[in-house]
Amino acid sequence: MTPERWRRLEELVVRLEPLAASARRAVLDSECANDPELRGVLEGMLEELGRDETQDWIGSSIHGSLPEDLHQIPDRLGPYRITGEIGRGGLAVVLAAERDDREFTRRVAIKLIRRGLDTVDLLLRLRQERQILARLNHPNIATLIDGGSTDDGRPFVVMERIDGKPIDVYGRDLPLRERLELFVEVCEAVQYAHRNLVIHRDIKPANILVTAEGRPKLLDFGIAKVLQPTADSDRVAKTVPGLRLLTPEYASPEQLRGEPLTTATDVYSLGVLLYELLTGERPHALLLGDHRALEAAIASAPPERPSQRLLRRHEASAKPRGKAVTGDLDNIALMALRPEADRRYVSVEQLADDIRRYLGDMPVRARADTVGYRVAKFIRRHRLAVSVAAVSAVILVALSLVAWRQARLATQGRLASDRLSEMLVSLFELPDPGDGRGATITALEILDRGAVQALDLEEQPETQARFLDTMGRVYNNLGLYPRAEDLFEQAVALRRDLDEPLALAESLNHLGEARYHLGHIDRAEAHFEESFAIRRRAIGEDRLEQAGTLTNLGAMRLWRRDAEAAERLWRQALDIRRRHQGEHGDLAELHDNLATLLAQQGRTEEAERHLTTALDLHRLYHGEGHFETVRTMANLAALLHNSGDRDEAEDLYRHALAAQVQALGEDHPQVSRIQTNLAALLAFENRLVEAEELLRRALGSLRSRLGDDHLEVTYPMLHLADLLVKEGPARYDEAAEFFGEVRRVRRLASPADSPLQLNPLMGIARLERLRGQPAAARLAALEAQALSLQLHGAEHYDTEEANAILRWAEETLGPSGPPVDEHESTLDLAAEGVESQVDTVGGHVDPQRR
Amino acid sequence: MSAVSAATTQLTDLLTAWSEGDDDALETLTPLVYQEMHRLAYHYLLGESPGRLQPTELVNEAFVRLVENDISWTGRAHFYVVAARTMRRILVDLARRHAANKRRGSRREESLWDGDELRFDLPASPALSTVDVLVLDEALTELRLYDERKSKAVELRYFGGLSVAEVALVLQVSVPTAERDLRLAKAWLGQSVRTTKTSGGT
Repeated sequence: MTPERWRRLEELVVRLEPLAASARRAVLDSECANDPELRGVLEGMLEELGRDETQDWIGSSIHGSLPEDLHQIPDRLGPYRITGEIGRGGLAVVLAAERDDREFTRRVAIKLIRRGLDTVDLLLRLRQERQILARLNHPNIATLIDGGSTDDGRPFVVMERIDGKPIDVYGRDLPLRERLELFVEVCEAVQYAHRNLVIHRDIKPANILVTAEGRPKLLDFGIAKVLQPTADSDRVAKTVPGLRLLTPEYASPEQLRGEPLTTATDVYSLGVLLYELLTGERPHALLLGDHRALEAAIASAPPERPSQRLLRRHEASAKPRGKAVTGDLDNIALMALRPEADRRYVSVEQLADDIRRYLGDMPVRARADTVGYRVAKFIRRHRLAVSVAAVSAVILVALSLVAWRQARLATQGRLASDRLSEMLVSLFELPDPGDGRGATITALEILDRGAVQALDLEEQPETQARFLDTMGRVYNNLGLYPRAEDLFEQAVALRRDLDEPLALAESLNHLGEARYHLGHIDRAEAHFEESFAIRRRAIGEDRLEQAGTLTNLGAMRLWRRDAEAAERLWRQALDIRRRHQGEHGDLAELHDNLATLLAQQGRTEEAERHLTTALDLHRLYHGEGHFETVRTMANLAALLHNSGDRDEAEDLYRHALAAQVQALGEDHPQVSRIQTNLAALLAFENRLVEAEELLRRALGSLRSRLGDDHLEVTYPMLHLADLLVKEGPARYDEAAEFFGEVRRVRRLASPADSPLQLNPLMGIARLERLRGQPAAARLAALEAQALSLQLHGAEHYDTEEANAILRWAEETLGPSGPPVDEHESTLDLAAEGVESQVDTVGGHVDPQRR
Repeated sequence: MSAVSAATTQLTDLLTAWSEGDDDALETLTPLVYQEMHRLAYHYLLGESPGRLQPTELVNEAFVRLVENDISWTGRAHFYVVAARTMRRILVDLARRHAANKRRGSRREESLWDGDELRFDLPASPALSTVDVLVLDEALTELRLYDERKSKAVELRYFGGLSVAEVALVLQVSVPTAERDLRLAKAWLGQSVRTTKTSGGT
């Protein structure tokens, strides 16, 4: 046959196939009149095409040509008589067997494991697991009966024999409701096992057989764990531990990565099963054995909604099925399939419960995922490229100071003091019912009680100091800095008297931190220096214990605008941590800090790299909702905000805000900072009502936590003042008051030549210009002009604006007449508003002229 | 096992070279793949493990053993092309030897598997549910003359054990096109094999 002839053949087949027999004959008669051979082939092909598509004769021919290997199957295994073969998988052959007891014959299935797996190790694990697995006694779980090894050393597992069809086959023709009921029954079995502390690890249709009575039975519970090879095998290490034994398309992302597993892995696999029961397809396909591509696909986007998958299909039945699945079932499946384990259903029970709710027409828990995925998507997208912002300053929510985990390190194993544990226990005893409040007791009350009880420890100064220090750390984490300061101060005093240099260094570090938060930078820095020096004398410089203090010292240097020194210190700390700890959650804060510094220098891309690294580490080591994870997220939002990507920034701020409120409470300074930044963004977009509300809340919280004279309170205040100016003349007086207050506090809290002084001065000058008060405007503008000249030079927009206001003021005041045109433009600019922008140290949003 | 990783690196490099247009690389890498897969087939069949030889599994196992995991997609695709062809060769060799042994009336002599007894059961029924793999092989070779892509699709799907989506990926066509190719190829092969059978030739 020539290629031309082949093409003609193909054309004709395609043309003929949809036709009825008579029409086919007509075409064949005319097209193949002189070519009986072609006609023969055509008729043969059409006949083949008319056959049942599912009949896979090529596949069975290939398999049929393979040699039988029944000779390898023994007649008996232990007390079991082999009667036949049930099935084969890559891992094992499953045999039907019987055991004759006195009264009855017990029918079992025996899974004979392939040789080549490390038998000794496997048998050992099997023995360890067997007792646990044998305890699983549930009508939907096939019982594990026994296990052993053949004479030639192949391990086998004996199970209850189930006659049934795999759930995907069984469910294919069932109505949706029945499929879902079947699924719920499967969930119940898995949940039962979870309660007994057994994870299945390999949930897939082949492991769920449905009996003739319609009862699903789960096979191979926990077997995957037994079969999972240890990581030291060379071949396995080359891929991913345990992966070869799994069906990757049902494996959770954490399983694909070879990480330790929790019950969440079964939730994921059940999600895949649900998806398959709904659509007949798996959410993601493994292609060409590329596990990494599969993993990347899972991580990069949620799977296509089951309803979409159905609606895309051509068959007529798919459309109504797709409609039925739209909404709740989509959400349920996708929630179970979330790549991050802690964002799935918390338990299989919840998953099953949502299906039951759906079946009972009740509202389900699952909601379409929006912000979370958008955050994740954002992070991925921006990992590649972030435009360098035109503005030089950067918002960052806070510098992170490390102390806690390092302290944990130092105190580990030393908390054994009887008296101390006794005291800690007493803290959690319920309050006296006589106080009229029943059993309600807040964490704060516990703490306060502890602080009082610490006094009882006087005869044991070491324990007392440790106790005070511990309590101080808790207060500090709660943002209750004055109380923390008080306790740390006591701890330091006690430890100075004791001969415990390392403990003293630790407390000094803590005290420094509390004082930093309280705005006492000089004293904080001195504490860090002393802490560092004490340790250097005692144990040297290059020690893990020093990393936290180095980090804190770096923060002080940055505060003093010595970025070079800060970067050097942080890189040193990073180096120490890497060498002593390897990859570790503690690295995250350093990345966070370096990002702050880089962002301030306009090195946005580098900053972002550090932030995403920090975020990854936080997520991995501290979890999604941890306040440090959220802080980094808020920093990322600030970076975006500053790059002008306000939509993404807003989403991320809101996400972080909700999470941080949950983690730390409404009034924590970290919450206030996010509120302030978000408000700045909203104000820029003229969404003034919400912005004002956020700012007032932030201001209130900060004042109550830190007092009226703390630098921190000036940030929301400054934004509030700017916002009020935007609102118009009716609110100018209020604005003026806030500007004045900002000015007052900043003069107290930072040096006269600090860039922090410029914004309130500019704000006052602008406002007085608007109010038509040349004398007051002139006063502020003069100061602003001088400072801006010194900080930024003559070309800077602040300098220029100050000049313009100054000229206006002088002309208005002087005898020479009314202002000229160019001043109008100044006015316009001022009225147009301020762009939220970002401050250098401590990371807050400061308004600046655009 | 540094030897394995050296071989792995070599094969990965060869696949990369081939996928970048170096056709000589194919000649060097084919025997490597054949050797490994042959060894695996031997292992699977010789009581080293229970379980019949499964093409998909064997090919995947060969991949895991032979190729570095971070190989490019094109390299990966090229591997499966070679592996599917190799699988076909192994099965055809196996069937030929079996047929030869049968003619000689000896089942132990000159076995592919070094003297170990293998039992082959050729399908007795003329029904298309199974045909001799040698007949299939011949038909496939003929198809290749007319339409290389379709014969390749069949090879990948049935000897390489790839899914339709994977076949499409390797052949760089859409999934519907791959489905159509497979369907038409199967129809042609079906009628061809039937004709062979009824005409009594092999």
